[in-house]
Amino acid sequence: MLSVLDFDRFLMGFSLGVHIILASIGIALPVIIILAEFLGIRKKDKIYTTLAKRLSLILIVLFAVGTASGTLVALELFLLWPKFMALVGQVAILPVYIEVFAFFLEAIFLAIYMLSWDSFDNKYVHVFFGVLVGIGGAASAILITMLNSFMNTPNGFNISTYLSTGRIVGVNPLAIFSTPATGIEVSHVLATSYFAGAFIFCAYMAYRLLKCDPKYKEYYMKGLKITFSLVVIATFFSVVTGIISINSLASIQPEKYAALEANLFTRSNASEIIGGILINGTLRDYFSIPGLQSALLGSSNAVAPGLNEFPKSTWPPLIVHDTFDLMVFLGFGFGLFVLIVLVLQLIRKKPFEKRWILYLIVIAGGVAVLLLELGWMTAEVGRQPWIIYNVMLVSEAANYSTSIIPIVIGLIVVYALILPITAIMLKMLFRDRELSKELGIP
Amino acid sequence: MNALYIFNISIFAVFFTLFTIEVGIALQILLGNNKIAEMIRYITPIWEITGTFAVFFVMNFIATFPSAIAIIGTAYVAPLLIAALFFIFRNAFLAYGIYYKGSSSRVYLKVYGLATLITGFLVISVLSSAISGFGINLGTDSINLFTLFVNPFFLIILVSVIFISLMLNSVIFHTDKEPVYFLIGIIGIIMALLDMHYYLNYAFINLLQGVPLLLLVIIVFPVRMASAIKRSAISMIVPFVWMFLIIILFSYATYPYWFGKEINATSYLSLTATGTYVSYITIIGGALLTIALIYFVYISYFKSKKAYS
Repeated sequence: MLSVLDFDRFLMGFSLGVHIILASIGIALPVIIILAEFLGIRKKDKIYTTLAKRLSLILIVLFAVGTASGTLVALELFLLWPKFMALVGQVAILPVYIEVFAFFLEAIFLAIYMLSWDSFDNKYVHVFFGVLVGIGGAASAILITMLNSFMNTPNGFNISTYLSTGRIVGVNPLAIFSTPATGIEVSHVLATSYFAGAFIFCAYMAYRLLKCDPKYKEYYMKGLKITFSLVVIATFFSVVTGIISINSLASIQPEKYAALEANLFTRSNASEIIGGILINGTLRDYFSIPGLQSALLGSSNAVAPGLNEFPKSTWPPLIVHDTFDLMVFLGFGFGLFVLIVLVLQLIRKKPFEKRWILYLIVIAGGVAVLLLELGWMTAEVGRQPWIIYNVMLVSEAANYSTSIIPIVIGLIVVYALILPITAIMLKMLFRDRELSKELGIP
Repeated sequence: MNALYIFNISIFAVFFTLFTIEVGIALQILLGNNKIAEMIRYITPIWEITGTFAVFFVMNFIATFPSAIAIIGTAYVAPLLIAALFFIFRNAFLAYGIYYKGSSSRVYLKVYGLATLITGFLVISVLSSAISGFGINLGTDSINLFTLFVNPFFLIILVSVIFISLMLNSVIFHTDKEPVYFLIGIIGIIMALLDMHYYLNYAFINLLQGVPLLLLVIIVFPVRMASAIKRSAISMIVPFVWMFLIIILFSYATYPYWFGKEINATSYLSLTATGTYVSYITIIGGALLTIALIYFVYISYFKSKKAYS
C-alpha cells in the first residue's frame, strides 16, 4: 500500500520528469530559431526565415504548456514539501527568486518576438529579441539548478545549530551561488539540456526528411544541419562535464558516488563495476574493469569511497547504479554516433543523404530524452533519503495531508494526456499552414 | 509597514489585476460575447505575463513569509493543486485556441474560459479563506472543503470579483451597455465593502483611513468615461491602475492579519539576511521589469506590424 509520502514523491518525480523535457526544449529551441533567423537575414534565404517562423510557433505552444508545468512544479515544491521550502525561504531562495525575473525576460520577449516579425527596418533587432528569450531560458536553468546544488551540498547557514536545535542562524544568502556542486552541476545541466532539446528537433527534421515531398527536402535539410550543429557542441560539453561531475561526487557526495559505482567498500585501485544486482548484501551478476575507477579519479592509488562508511539507513536505493551505467553506456554510444556523423560530414560524405543515418537520428531523438530522464533520475534518487543532503530527510519535509491522493492521481492523468494532446495540436496547427505557401513554392 | 510586506502586496495586486481582467474575458468567451476576437487580440501577448506574475507572487511569498509555508502549504494543498491542474488547461487550451485556425478553435477557447474560471474560483476561495479564516482549522493545519467553498464571505467576494471583472472588460473593450456594466462594477465594490464591514470589521475601519485614496480611485473612472479620452491609448491603462489601487487598498485594510484576526502576519516575516537581499532584488528586478513591460506594451499594442500566428 502506497503511503502519502510515496504519492508526494511520485507526483514530484513525475512532474519534474515531464517538465525537464519541456524545459530542455525551451532552452535549446530559441537557439535553433535565432540561428535560423540570423542565417535567413544574412543569406537572404526565405527557407531559413520560414524555418524560424514555424519553429517559433512550436516554441510558443510548448512554452504555454511548459510555463504551466513549471508553475505546477513551483507550487508542488511548497505544497508537497512545506518544511523544505520554509528552510529554503530563509536560506537559499535567492536564485529561485531571481529566476522569476529570468522567466519574465523569456515570457515578455517571447511575446514581443512573436508579435514583431517585420516590424523593424533593422531585422537584427528582431533576432536580438530572440537572443533575450534564449538568455532568459538558459538563465532560468542555471538559477534553478543552483537550488538543486544546494540540496546536494548545502551551505549558507549554521548546519550544526540547525540539526541540534532546529534554529536557522548564521545565514549567508549569497553562499548558495557557490556551493561545492554549483559550478559543475550547472554546466552539466545546461549542456545536457541543449543536447536533449536540440536532438528532439534534430530527430524531427530527420523524420520529416525521410517522409517529405522532395520539394521540401532543402527546408528540412537546412533544419537538420542547424540542429545537428547545436547537438555536436552540446554533446561535447555534456560528455566532458559528465565525467568531471561524477568524479567531483567522490569528494562532495561520497555516499551518492559509492551508490552510483556500486562500491560496497572503500578501496584504492578500485575496479569499475558494470551492471550487477545487490542480493543479501552481495553484488551479483556484474563484470568489472580492474583499476579503471581509481584511474578515472586521478591515479591507480586513488581511493574510491564505499557505502560501508555510511549507515545503511541513509544509503540511496542501489537501482541508481544501474540507471547510472545505462546513462553512461548510452551517453558514450551517443557521443560516438555524433562523432561518426560529424566526421562523415567533414569529409563530405553527405551523411544526411543516407537513409540509415536519418533512421538512426530519429531513434536517437527518443534515446536523448531517455538519457535526460536517466540523468535526472540518477541524480535525484542518488540523493535519497535526503531532500537536503545530511540536513533534512525527505520524510521530514513532506506534506502528509491525505487529501492530496486523488488530486495526485488526477494531475498525473492530466500530465500524461497533455503532452500527446499538445503534439497532436502542433500537428494540426501545421496542417493548416501549408509549407509550400510560406516558402513560396508551387 | 515593512518593505517586504509592501512588495508582496504590490506583486499580488499586479497579478490579481491581470487575472481579474482575464476572468472577465473567460466569462465573456463562455457567454459568447461578440467582441471575443478583440479580447483574444488583447490577451494574446499578455497571458504568459499573467502566469509569470502568479509564479512571482508565490516565490515572493515564500521569500517574505518562509515560516508560514508550513501552515499555508499543508492546509491549502488540495485547492491549490487542483487550481494548478486547471492552470495547465488554461495555458494549453489558450495556446491551442489562439494559434489553431480551424473551426474547433472556438471550442478550445471555451475550454480555456472554463479552466480560467475554475482556477479563479479556487484561487479566490483560498485567498478569501486566508483573509477571513473561513474553512481553515489552524489547530490541525487542515481545511473543510465545504466551508471553504460555501461561506458567505467567500461567495460575496466571488460575486464581487466577477462583477468588477465584467466592468473592467466593458471599459477596456467598449462592449455594449457599458454604463450597465459600470453600475454592476460599483455594486461589486459595495458588496465587497459590506462583506468586509460585516465579517472583518477591523479591516473595514482600516479601509476608512484610506478615504483619500478611495476617492481618487472612484474619481478615476468617471474621468476615464469622459468621451474625450475614451478611445485613447491612455484609457486602456486606466482600468489597470484602478484595479491595482483597489487591491492595494483592500490589502492594506487587512494588514497585518490573516485568517480573520487569528494570526499576525508580521510574525512570519523573513528575519534572516535573506529578506534584505530579497528587497534589493525586488527593487532592481522590479525596475527592470517595469521598463521591459512598458516596452512590451509599446511593441504589442502600438508598434507591432505583423504577428506570425
